[in-house]
Amino acid sequence: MSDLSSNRRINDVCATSKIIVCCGTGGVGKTSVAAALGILCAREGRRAVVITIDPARRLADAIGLDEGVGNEPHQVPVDATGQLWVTMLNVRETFDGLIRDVAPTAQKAEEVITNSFYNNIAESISGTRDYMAAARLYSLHHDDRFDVVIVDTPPTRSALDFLDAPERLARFLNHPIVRFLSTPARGGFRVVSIALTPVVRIIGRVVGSDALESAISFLRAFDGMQDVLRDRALLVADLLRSDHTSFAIVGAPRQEALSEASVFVSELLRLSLPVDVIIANRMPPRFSSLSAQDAFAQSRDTSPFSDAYANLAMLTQEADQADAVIETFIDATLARLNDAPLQKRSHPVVSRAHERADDIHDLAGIAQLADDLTAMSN
Amino acid sequence: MGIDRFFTDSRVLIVAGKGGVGKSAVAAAIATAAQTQGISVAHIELDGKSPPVGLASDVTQFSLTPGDALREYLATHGLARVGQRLESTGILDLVASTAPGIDDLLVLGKIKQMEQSKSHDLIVVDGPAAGQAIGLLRAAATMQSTVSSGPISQQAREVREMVMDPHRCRVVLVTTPAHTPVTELLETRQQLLDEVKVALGPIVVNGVDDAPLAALPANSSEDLQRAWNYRAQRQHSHHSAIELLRAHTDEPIVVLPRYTSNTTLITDMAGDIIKSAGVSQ
Repeated sequence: MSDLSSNRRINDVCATSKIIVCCGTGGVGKTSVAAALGILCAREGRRAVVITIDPARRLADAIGLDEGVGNEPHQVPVDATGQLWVTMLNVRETFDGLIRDVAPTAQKAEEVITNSFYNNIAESISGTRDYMAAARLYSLHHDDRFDVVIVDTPPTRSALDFLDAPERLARFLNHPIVRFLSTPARGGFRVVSIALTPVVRIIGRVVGSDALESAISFLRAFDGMQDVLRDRALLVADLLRSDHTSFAIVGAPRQEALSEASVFVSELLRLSLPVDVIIANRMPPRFSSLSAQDAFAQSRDTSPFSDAYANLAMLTQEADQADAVIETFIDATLARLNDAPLQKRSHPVVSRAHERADDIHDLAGIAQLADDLTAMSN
Repeated sequence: MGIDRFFTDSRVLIVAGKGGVGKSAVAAAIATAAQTQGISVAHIELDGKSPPVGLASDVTQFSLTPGDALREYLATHGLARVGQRLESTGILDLVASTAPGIDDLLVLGKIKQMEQSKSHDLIVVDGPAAGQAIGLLRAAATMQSTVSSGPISQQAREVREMVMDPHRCRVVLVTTPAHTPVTELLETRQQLLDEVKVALGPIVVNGVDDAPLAALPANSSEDLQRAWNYRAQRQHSHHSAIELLRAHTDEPIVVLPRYTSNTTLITDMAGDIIKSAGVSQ
């Protein structure tokens, strides 16, 4: 193990961070881990809110997130001195709220919200979802009801999509063409000149003129709001970079999940962001101190227990393989963090949780996961 | 679709499943299995990832990203130079936002073009995550309703014809044998059938523990008991997930075991797919 491992434990992170961002690929149990971290924060006496993006139905049911539950946080009863709240990101509702927030007048807001182009982009573009997750994080962070916000990031192709979303939106809104298109027509003169602009003509040829007209009228209705939205986007970006925010890499002992996790680490480092927590979830449990080899040897004896030993040997081998894969990943990650020119020194906490024989589908399962994370934190 | 015609019933198989179920491995294994049966196969990767290790070397491998598809579209419509300019100024994003789904449509358009060229007997697409697969396949219908004329509208019509023709295109759904992923698969399946109107191929359940487990002797040690209980519980959980799947679907189900070796994963899996397809080697 590298010298970077420290005395901090997962509970210390949960006692102090104001924002915990969980990054990881699909199938590693990221949503369950985010909820379990929420329980750990509540056990530290804090009021925690978990934003999930797309929870599995049974998990959603377990934490009381029915289909009807929108953006409004919902309190989950937990056995802790603090509180656990959960909320599901509703992209459309967040976007509408944001528009109403930044629009100079209510009428202007309605003009944007009812535009057909806005209707198209509000939910269907993955970038909007990432940006809205970030915007939602920002507003929950400033909500007096909560001490800590835990984010289950959207399952995007790249973590950067989420981390980078605020700045990407700012860049887009700042684009000369967008600025040009969104400036309202004066005396009808601009309409003609816009339509004749080569680049606009080409976009029109590709997407069709009706779609283009709707886009132009959206950008016009939007006029004046860009600056506020851009400033907001930059505030979110600053918040993600601040000392209040901790990043947790969630992995599982599968080769492809860990290659994805390494990509997340690279992206964080590229943005000069530290890795504060590494969580190895779905680790096969061990049942005996006997080595796989010894268990195999026992299984070859002619005894009534030979089949039971063969089973023990197989499960121990699964655990050995998983440990080897995870340890290699953790050591490589610690070494990379050690070498990275980070301003904030990173001493990541490493924590593990067991794979269950069946999947987690109730609050007790999440509490069990939280227990594991505490017990198996180095 | 009978399981014995896994590789021949339709020319395009889009493999989809939520993250972590082994979708990419299954797509590579299907391609490899078909190729070893003497079928010429193209494998298309949509995520820009590198081709999976172990994919049979005689399978033609392509990588296709929305950016590539849009660039190619502009080039074939005499807009190559403009395309470059659009991209360097970031306006390509603007085009994609103006008509959401256009990138998805162009990706499918490219697949359709390959399918029509008949350069390969079978095209296996390592598709996006299950939820995104619906968006991808629905793009054609969406574009048809938002763009009423012009080249994009025609493209949308042609792609839709392919997607809705079971002899040309099917979706192979992949899941792990657990309750939650199976429930999600059932929802995705219904949406694909009702909304996208695409036909389904066999459903693949990956990583099933169904090796025989002998009964535990009464006076076993506590360690042996705990290990046995875990294993029995895991097998029970896998079994009931598969039963749940069988109860709610009528597609053939391919059950794949847990593989211990990473290096021979694709070939092992391909062998099991051939076995379950009942094709002689």
